Amino acid sequence: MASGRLRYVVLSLAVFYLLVLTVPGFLYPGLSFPADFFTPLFNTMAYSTAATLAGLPAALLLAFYASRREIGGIIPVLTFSTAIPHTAIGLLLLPLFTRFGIVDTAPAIIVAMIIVSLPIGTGSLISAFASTQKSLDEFLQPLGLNDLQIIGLHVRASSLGVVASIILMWLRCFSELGAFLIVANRPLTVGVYLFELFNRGGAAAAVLFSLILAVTGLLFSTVLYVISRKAGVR
Amino acid sequence: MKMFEALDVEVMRKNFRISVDYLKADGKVVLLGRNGTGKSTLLKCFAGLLKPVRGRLRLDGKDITGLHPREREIGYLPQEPVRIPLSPAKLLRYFAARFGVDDREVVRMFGLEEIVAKTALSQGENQIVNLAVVMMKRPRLLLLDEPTSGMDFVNKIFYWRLLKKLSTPMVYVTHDPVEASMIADHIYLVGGGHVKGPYENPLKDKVEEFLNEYNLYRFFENSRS
Repeated sequence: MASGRLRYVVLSLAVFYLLVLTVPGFLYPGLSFPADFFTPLFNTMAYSTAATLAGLPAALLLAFYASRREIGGIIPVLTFSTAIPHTAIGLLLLPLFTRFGIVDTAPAIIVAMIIVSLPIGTGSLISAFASTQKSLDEFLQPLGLNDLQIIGLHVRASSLGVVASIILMWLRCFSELGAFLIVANRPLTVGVYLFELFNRGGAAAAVLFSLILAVTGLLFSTVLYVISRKAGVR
Repeated sequence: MKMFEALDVEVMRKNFRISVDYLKADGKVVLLGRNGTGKSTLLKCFAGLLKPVRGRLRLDGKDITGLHPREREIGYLPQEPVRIPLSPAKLLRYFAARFGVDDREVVRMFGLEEIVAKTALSQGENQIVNLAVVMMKRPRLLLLDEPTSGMDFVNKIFYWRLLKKLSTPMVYVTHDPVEASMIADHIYLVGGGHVKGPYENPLKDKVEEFLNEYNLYRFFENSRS
């Protein structure tokens, strides 16, 4: 009985969380629709896709070896960046990007996206690989398969977990702002565009775009949840 | 002559040690012992998945102690059932292409006609397919870690009969004396951190004769439908 009541409390909390994030936005007087939200949206989606595809092989390799504890020590090295503000990551990258002359370019955005999404993608892939059997390795190694072939079969064995990790990486790329504020204000991405809308016209100018992004985020998060449920990954 | 030898081998895993003074497998050798006595640890060492603390491993006279599992020319079936995410037909084709053998020949040799037509396999059927995959490599030594655990009796007998047909030397781990009697030419007893043996299998062929005498395989097979 108590657990039934608790369930309603938890559901109410989830609904409350969603309402807090969405309803107050409509209370602003004089909401205006952003002039061109397609360009930053399209840019961010395209760069996120490129960064995810470029970062995925590295994430797969790192996760595979880390999940076998052969190089478990690299995990803190990879994940420390999640513990610091991403503006700091931008500042750390700035001298390098300046040296290569890519500040405020698409490559700067993509590289920054790879750097911020790699820890979360690797972490998620480690969980996905951990769900596949160690015995699969033990069976395949004496058969003469090399590590890349073994990784290929692990990816097939945990395909839903891998897909969930890819979506997670993509979402992390899509939502990045801090690093872009330092290394790439242009081409325009959604985070920077939102920041500029707010700076120029206040909340009324930026809230509708925030809601569009919230709906987009909710859509992708739902897809991620469904895939994760099927894959048994949390 | 095809032969595997373990000479004065000691393996350590966590705080557990298992040692063997001398083990020779030129036929079907069974490591028999209770759960947790170190049989699997020893087999992993033979497969190259664990390094021995001391001792040498020789396969057909060649020292394989320091070799990676890939280079050992062995086939290994771990205790935990391995599920490769391919249908049985695709799986056999994948490895047949890799090892340059005809998958249809393998299907015929192992009697897998029914199994390859399926998309989902029982644990026992899966183990049978995995054995076929391992044998495609034509290993010089077969290492099998309780491969029939979780199988029903019909699949067990089918599996044991397959093994009896193979001429490849094998080290077979089990805790079941009946299974040991069915398979082994020689039995090594594992317990107290040591391996004792070899002992002649006094029941060699007797279990098979018993099964045939009462037509038990047919009985169990028919009782499924």
